[in-house]
Amino acid sequence: MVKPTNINADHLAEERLTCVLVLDTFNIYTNEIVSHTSLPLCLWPVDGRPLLDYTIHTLVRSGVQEIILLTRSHSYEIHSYITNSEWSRTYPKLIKFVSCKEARSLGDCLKDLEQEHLINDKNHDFLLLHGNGTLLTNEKLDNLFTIHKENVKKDKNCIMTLVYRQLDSNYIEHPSYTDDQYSYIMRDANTHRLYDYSKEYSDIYEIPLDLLEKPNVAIETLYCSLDCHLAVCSPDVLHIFKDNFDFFTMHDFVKGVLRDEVANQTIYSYLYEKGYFLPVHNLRLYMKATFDILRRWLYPLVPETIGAKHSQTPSIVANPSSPPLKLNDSYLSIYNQWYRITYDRHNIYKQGDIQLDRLSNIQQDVFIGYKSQILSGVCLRSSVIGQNCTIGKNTKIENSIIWNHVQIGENCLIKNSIICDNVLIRNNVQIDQQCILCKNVIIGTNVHLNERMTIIASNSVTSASVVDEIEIDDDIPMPSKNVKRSSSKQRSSSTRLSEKSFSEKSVSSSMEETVTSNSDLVGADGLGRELIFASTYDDQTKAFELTDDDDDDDDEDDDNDKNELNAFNAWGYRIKPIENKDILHDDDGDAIKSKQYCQSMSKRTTDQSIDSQTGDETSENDDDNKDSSSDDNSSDEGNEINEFQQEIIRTLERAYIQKLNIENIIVELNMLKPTYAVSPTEFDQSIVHAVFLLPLERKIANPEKTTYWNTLKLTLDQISQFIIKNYMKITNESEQVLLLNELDLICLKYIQPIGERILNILNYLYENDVISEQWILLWYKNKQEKIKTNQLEVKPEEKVYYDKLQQFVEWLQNAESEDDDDED
Amino acid sequence: MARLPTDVETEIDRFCNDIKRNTYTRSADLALATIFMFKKLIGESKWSNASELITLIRSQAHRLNQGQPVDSITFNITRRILKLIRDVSARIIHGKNEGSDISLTLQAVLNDRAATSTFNDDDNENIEENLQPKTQQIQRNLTDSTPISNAEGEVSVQRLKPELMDDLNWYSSDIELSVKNLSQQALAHIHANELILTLGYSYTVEQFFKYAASKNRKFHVFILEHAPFFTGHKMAVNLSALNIPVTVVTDSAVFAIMARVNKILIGTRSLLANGGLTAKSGTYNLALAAKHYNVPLLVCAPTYKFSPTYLPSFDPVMCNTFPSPETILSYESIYQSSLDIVVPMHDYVPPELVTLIIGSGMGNAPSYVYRIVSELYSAEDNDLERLQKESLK
Repeated sequence: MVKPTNINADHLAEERLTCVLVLDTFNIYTNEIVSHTSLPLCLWPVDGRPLLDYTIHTLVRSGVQEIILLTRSHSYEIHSYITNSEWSRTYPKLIKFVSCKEARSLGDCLKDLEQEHLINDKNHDFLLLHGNGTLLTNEKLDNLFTIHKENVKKDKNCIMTLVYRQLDSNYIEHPSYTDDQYSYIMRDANTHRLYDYSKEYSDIYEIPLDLLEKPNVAIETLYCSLDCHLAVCSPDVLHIFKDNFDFFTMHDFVKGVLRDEVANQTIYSYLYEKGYFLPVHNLRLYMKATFDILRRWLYPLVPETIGAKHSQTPSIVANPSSPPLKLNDSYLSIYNQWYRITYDRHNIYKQGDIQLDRLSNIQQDVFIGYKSQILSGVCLRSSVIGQNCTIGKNTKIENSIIWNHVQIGENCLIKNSIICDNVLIRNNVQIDQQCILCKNVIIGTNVHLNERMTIIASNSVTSASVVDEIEIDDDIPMPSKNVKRSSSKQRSSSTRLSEKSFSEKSVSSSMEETVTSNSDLVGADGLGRELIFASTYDDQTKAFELTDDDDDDDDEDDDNDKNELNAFNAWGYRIKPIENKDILHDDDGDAIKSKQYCQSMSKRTTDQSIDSQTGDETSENDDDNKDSSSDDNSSDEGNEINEFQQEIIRTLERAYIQKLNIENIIVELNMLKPTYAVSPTEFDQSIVHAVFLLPLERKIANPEKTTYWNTLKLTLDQISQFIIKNYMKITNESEQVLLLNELDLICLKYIQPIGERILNILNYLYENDVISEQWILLWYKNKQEKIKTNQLEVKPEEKVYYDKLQQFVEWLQNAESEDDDDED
Repeated sequence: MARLPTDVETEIDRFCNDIKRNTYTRSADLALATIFMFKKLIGESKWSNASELITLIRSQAHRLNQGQPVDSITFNITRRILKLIRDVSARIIHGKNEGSDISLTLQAVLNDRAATSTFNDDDNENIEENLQPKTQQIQRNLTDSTPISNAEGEVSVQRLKPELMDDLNWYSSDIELSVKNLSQQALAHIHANELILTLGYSYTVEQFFKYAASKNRKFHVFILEHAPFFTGHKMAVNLSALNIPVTVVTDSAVFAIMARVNKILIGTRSLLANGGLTAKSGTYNLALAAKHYNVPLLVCAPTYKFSPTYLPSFDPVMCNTFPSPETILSYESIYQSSLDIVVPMHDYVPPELVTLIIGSGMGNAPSYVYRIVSELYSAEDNDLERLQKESLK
């Protein structure tokens, strides 16, 4: 008799094999970049297919009959992709969705899952794939269920089996081992029970002594085993996550369960010793995955079999049960088109019809998408070219991933980068480091990007039309201009829809004052600006309700989600202390000394960098103080006050950048007062100092473009005048005089930028009712007397200041007299 | 109009996915699964007559063979089933006599224009009583410029379906038994105290040796380990369990040991119409060494491995698969991208290096394969892979 060897007969198995995929990395940096590409990381294209496809293939191959997708952001895209894909047609009951829009961590997602009661059977073990939920492997995973069952049989307290892939212990430089992958495990060598677990890198690990006292325990430690982000879980795991709301990540969970002596639950581990495993949850691993698949590590899941699918005639397709969702995103619909992929020697894949010039040089590990044009002299190596791309003459592309509808001009050099949809790169562009050009970005002629950076086009609606305008006058022929234009518009709308959850967090990155396009970065004929993370960083700290973001570096006790996930950037590098980064940039930043870069640096670097910059500044100030000022403060006290001044400057700077509310700033300033032992007079003096030195801080970052006065005006407009008004009431004589005296001191100290502008400053203050004319006149009279009595010496370089001052006072008096005349 | 119901549709998709994921380890399993699939398709989809069914199957053929090389088993099975449909409908039209069967064979020969010269040979062999009706029929077919499908249009579901299902059942049991039938010829090929060389693991070859050993034939087997997959190790273990003396030899020593070997017995992935093979990688070396020492090379190939296609060139990438390089360089190791690893699975062996092909019935010379192929498949279906390529453009 004929028996089907079909493993997918779901009614046959008495037990459903379930897998839960958590499709989010919970890393703010990755999510920020992802939000500018309009596709969630799990749907990013890997050799023509979305990343998620490979995982589902593996799972179906392993005999998994139910896949539950936990989606957070972009759930609409994921849902519409799956419902329109082959998966829902071929395996109608395979994939279920749970949307956890509110979730901020893995723990939140699993709590949502628990509430759905999808897994309620007591013995219903399930596979949990966390960390973006995209694991690439060519091993079958069904044996994991058996292994977990055996562990449970031996030890009924076992609730979870973690899965690792063995790597040699000295290979911390293994390419699939990014910084965020680090894990250290201590387990029983025989039973594989887990005793200790750490994701922190450290040189010394402690083994508890009582462990060694137990009989028949052989301890085994594993360094550098690759965390597959995969675990077989008993249903209890969900309950534990629900009961312990402070379990944000798998790390918290494992730590918590191991520490918890009462419940006595145990965790086991399983180590694969062969097979390809790559959990993709950052951009570096995404690139590695793409190239590994081209090099056939994932066989049998290789492009020419995965991507080959007979596109069906619509007459045959009859799926009345579930009317397909409308596909807004043209990229997702590209996933539903199938072209024959031919595999050629040196791992070259060609999808359908492509135009390949006879003189092009396709070296190895290259994927070229449908309808792409490769012109003469092009050199490709280890790269993926999407559909409908055009690569201009003599361009060289290495180790890069290029999505669809991308145009690249002539004589470009592109290395190690990801270039998303609809990007236009003009001629002679060089991109050296790991860059991401998000969709619709245009890189102008002769631009050289040699930093690791993310460039985004503006989020605003106008950007789409800007793109169109620029494209129209472009000299490179565009094969599908209409398609492209319409699609870009469509996409931007759909993006905005999906980004609603992001909107407070990332899109409004508090950079309204920066122009949408930065010509120094992307060239005069380019479009795009760098994506900067400072604001999201702050946001994150707020989200976790930390005390203040001034002390990010000294919250050791806060070892939860924030530290664990967001200590790594989107590329999987550990984010270094920012001072180091500064030095590093100063060392090699020769070409990029553009203002945008500096500006961005000052923004990206949070408080520490400002610390260091202003630290230098203050030391100079100190010297100046000692030389020129007639202050009789002792040096100790002066230091204290100087420190306090710096603190205020920092506060104001942050307040200005983030556009904080005036009341909040004042509360914050008031709270600073008791921290530093300063007298009320000193406090007021410091405030004035801070207000007028604040633009100087920014001026350091901004050498050419903005003059001191313009910047001061901006800050005054926004915050400073209100602060001065708050502390130095226009009616209070002593306060007003103090303000003027202090201003005088500052002007004398900084003749060059500030003193010469005294006219404008006083005028502004006068116009805005910060300072009253009677006090000015009074103060000026006193000053004149002092000069006359030789109490005050006028140095020749100070003359310009006094001239201006006089000018203003004369104007003031005239105006007054005119007023008087009018009254008469 | 013929239509596919949704569940058949999904069944086909699942089957395709299973093929993609290498679910089927043995080729016979794949063949049986394909037949099972077609039985479902024929049984559950709506069609009114034979020609509709043929168009339906042909339209689905691309999907079944997606991502598969042109000489794959699913292709062969598809063609064979089409041929069965044509046969059954012809039998229904012309009555159930023996003559119609032979005439159909000849028809196929006739349609294959390249094979016109052998027509006379065949005629002479069957010169007996069937000559009269047969020639008449040929003439009728020739004068009727209308293709055969027109005649098949008259055959209705009610008559065709039961007979076709019988034939399909018979065909699948034939495949199930094919290895057994094949192995029963073992005593004719394996003689006492012979030294036989084989390459890697092949279920068919294993059964062949098993049968000979069960009949108390004494022989010694040399096994090439088939790096980097090392399936030869499995073969060695299995054979030694039957008390057959076994020696495992590295692939690189193939030339050195060839002088001692009496006979080579290998399996193949597929047998092409010209008698060439696409077999495990390393077979080409083996065959060339065998040629050098004039050692006979016998190939065990069940009927479903006969493919009516040719390889257009000696391109090693054609009809080949390239699995993960993990078997060569472990995943742990660190290497630069300048290192390129090539792991071909198959070799093409030209027919002049093959001595004998052992099919289910009897041994055949490679030059005779085209005849078997032309009897197995209808020449009208030889364009299947061309259709597939066109459909993807």
